[in-house]
Amino acid sequence: MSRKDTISSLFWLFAGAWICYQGYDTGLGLLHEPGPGFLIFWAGIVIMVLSIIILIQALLKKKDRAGTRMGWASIRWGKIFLVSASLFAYGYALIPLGFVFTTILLLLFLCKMIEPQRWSVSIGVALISTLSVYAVFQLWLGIQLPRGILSLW
Amino acid sequence: MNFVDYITIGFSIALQPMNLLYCFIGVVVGTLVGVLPGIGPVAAMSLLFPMTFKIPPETAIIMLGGIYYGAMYGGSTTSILVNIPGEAASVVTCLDGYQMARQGRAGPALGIAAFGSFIGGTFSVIGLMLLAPPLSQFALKFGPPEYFSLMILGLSILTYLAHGSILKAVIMAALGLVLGLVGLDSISGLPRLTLGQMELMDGIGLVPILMGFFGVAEVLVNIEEQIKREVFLTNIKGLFPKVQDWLESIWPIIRGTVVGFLLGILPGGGVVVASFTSYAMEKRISKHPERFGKGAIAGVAGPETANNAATGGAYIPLMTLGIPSNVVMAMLLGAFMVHGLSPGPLLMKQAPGVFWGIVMSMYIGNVMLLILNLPMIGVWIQILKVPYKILFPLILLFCLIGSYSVNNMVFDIHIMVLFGILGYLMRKFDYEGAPLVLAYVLGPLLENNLRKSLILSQGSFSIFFVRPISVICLLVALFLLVSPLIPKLGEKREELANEETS
Repeated sequence: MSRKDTISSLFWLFAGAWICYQGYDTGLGLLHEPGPGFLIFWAGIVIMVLSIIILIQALLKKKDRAGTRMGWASIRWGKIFLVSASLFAYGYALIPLGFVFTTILLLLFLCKMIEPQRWSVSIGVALISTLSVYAVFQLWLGIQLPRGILSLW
Repeated sequence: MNFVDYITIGFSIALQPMNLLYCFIGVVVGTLVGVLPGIGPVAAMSLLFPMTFKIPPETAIIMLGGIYYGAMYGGSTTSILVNIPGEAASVVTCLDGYQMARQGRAGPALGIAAFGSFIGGTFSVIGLMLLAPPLSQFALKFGPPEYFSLMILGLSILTYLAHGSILKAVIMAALGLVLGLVGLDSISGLPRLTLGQMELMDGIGLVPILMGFFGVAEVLVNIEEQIKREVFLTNIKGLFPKVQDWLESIWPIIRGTVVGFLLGILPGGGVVVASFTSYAMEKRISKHPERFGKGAIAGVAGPETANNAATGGAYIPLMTLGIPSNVVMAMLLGAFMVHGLSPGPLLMKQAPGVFWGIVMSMYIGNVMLLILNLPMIGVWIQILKVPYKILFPLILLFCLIGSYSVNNMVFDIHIMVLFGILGYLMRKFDYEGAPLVLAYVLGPLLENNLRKSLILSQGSFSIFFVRPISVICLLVALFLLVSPLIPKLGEKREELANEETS
């Protein structure tokens, strides 16, 4: 059995069922006047049918080491998690702290925690990148970046 | 107005100082992202998308288009010198380009890649000029059933050409359709799949999805394991290929131009398919196929020409039918729409300056790239030496800014991160993002034309089978989707997918 395909097909089976329900709930309409949920419903059906086929194929496959272990041993999951979490946190901190502070903090975090570098390099990258981006987007292009705590001054 | 008048209008617009400046910015940024592994033309276009809000539509498309074909030029540099493709269309250039560099022939490899790109790019623009006007006249005959069937064909081609399982690719396309339908229904005004979130009433933004799938996911893939790069710096000399190199390359360049252009037109096709097809064709035709993979210059000239020729071809479905043939064209469609323009059969009549200005700028862009690339090769090599541990925070920063600045909404940042994680996991589980993104863009168009067709036919699906263009598209789509079940054709498709993956 292919473990990757078993997991992913089960996920898509449930996702397809949920999409079908959402389509049905929104309204299928009639064939001569399809409703807003018509295409969503049928897309959900397609996802469910195909995921069932993948699931059957996966269950019928012979068991092998690569399949059971998925070949993910060398992945640095901690780094993946930290990067994702820091990007989510950036979204939450952007408005209250403002673009400049949040960005400097994020870049420092990425430079020190994910692929550790010297403090001087990390601070240099964080400051120069943040100020350059601020100059281009806020000052040149006129895009309103959140000021956050800077607005207190 | 005749053809010459249109060309004159086109050049008068393309040569305006502002358009020249933005064309230059586009091709430089394109070359840069082509050179840098880890960020592709789609992410770069998404990033610069907000820049286009305050400039005229033709200027915006000129710049975004410049990024697209600029990336095709730049991609070869990394493939040849580092054996890491700068972007997907240059994957195949690694095979012979890197071997040439190892044999001390990095210069001719880089040179032929640049000249081939220039020739392919220029001839594809001529093809675009000649084919777009008659095709747009023909497209006026298209009704909702034809549009629906053509989009189904485009999605089928893309899923057929996707790596690995076709079933997984169809799941991605179906999911993309659903994502494209999130928000208020344009006919009934009812909210769909909004989960009670006000921010989703207008749908999910294209830029956060692209940034997530092609920016964040790419970074996550790159940081999961440490990559070591070795740049060949010592042997870069003799950028102008010698007579023997030209003799070996001229036919691959001609064939690459034709194949690339035709595959670029194909809905669902594009630069990656073009470069792989060209490589496979050259290897089959060659009297010395054993040299391929060991430093054959034809293995660089053909694919690099083909991927640039495909960029010009890809504009045809967008400009004449209003249907994007790949993810990059979907991005350009978004840029047209932001400026209140609808690309399609009427664009040439309603806004000839926009159409011809964009086409003529591509000539200028190609000349700029040829002039830029060879003398500036040293600069690109220096950029290649920037370690990834410094590059990836910057890529993530650009993704964050790009997502936020479209609507000034933090919600878009979270959407981008979610799609980044989804994109990463999809790659781990061998699902490809391209069918999802194209289906997402086509979703509302496809639904609209399906519903219109069914209303026209009073609920009968026969409307799709009594119109010749529609039925041909659907039959080809059906053939592509069931062909993996036919043993011989299935093996061929798997061969192609394996070649691309390796």
